[in-house]
Amino acid sequence: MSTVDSAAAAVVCGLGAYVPERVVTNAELAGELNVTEEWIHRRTGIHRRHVSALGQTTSDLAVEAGARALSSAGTGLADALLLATSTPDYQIPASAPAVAARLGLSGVAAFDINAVCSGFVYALAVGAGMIAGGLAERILVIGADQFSGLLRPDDEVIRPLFGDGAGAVVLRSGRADEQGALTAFDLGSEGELDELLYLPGGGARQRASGTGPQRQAEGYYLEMDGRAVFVNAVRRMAESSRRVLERVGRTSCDVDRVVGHQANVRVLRAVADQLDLPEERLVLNLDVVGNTSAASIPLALAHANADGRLEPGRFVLLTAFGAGLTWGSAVLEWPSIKEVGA
Amino acid sequence: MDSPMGNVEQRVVRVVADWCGPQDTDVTAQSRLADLGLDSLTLLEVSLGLQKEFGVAVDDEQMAEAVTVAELVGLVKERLPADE
Repeated sequence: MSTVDSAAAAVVCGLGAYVPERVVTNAELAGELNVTEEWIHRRTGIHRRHVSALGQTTSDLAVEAGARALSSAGTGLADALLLATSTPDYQIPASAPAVAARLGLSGVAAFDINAVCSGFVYALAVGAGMIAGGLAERILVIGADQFSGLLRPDDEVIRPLFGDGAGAVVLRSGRADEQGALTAFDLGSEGELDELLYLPGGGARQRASGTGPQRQAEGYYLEMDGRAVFVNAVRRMAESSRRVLERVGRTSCDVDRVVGHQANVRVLRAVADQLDLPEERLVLNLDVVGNTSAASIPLALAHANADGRLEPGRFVLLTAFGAGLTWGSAVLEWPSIKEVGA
Repeated sequence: MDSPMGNVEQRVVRVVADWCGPQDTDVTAQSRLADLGLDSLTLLEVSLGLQKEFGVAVDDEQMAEAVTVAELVGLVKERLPADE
């Protein structure tokens, strides 16, 4: 990873978000899961989350957010579409081409990026690399996920955490000294810990086990070692944040806003503590959307841009952590962005 | 010595108090963790806080077995270099 300085820089010039209409409150879940609303909120910081309607899929969410981001950028055009998701409509093919086609972008380079909850930061980095390498001038980067279908209905620990949603940015080719330029990235992984947070079924591992084509109910729900994920999330996001700041010669003192992966408010507070950052600098929206996986950072950006928590010129740190394990961070000076419905 | 052993106790007490949230009970070395309203995530937060404060990793499972703050102090002291 290196700073993007000599080649063309990727500049954020459009932003959009979408969440499904249906809201699931803690009160609704508390009744079903035999826990209290207060218990859910104290452990997670989440009050409610949005859940897709029957028949609504990840690509539907992605199209809505993508269209808004293109509109915010004042264009209908892009050379490429990157979709960060781990819940594509099909196992084959990727969902990005279908999303591109529905947005009138048929013909452009389009592919999915799966780094689970870190996927959006990974996709920004890939997009920045494509722009620096001259492969594209304008790229639509979408994070969209639909975890609601992966949650065991009676799982009181995991089910309250997740919601569905999508967020997107438009990157254009520009200069590193412009507001909105993504000036540095840090990405990493630790695959030895791939089973801390995973969905065992539906992939090659299960097919290779010889269980045949009969779909087993077992293995189709998300499984998580919550304690280990918590500790690793805090450590990895804090380390990655320090590294990306070092790359631009800054420290955590310089950070005006941290837009971290909205997994759990207590993870984000612990990251702020590790970085000696006042909690007021954390941008939080998980109270109203929950953990939306790859959508979480662009959704938080859109909400914060709309309500004034992100203003042009603010020095912003993005940091994410996800299953894999994966993590990633990026920095930018926040640009003036036209708001288009959220 | 910049950090005599006596200060380790004060520093551990401060980390525990920082993560207990607002409450009436004063945290001391004699405090029982069960009386401080800690949940399982708080112990992880304290563990990360101690690692940041002292630069040593305290095993999560041993943390979970500790009954009092003083026992956490003991876990930290076991891991500190001899000159601290």
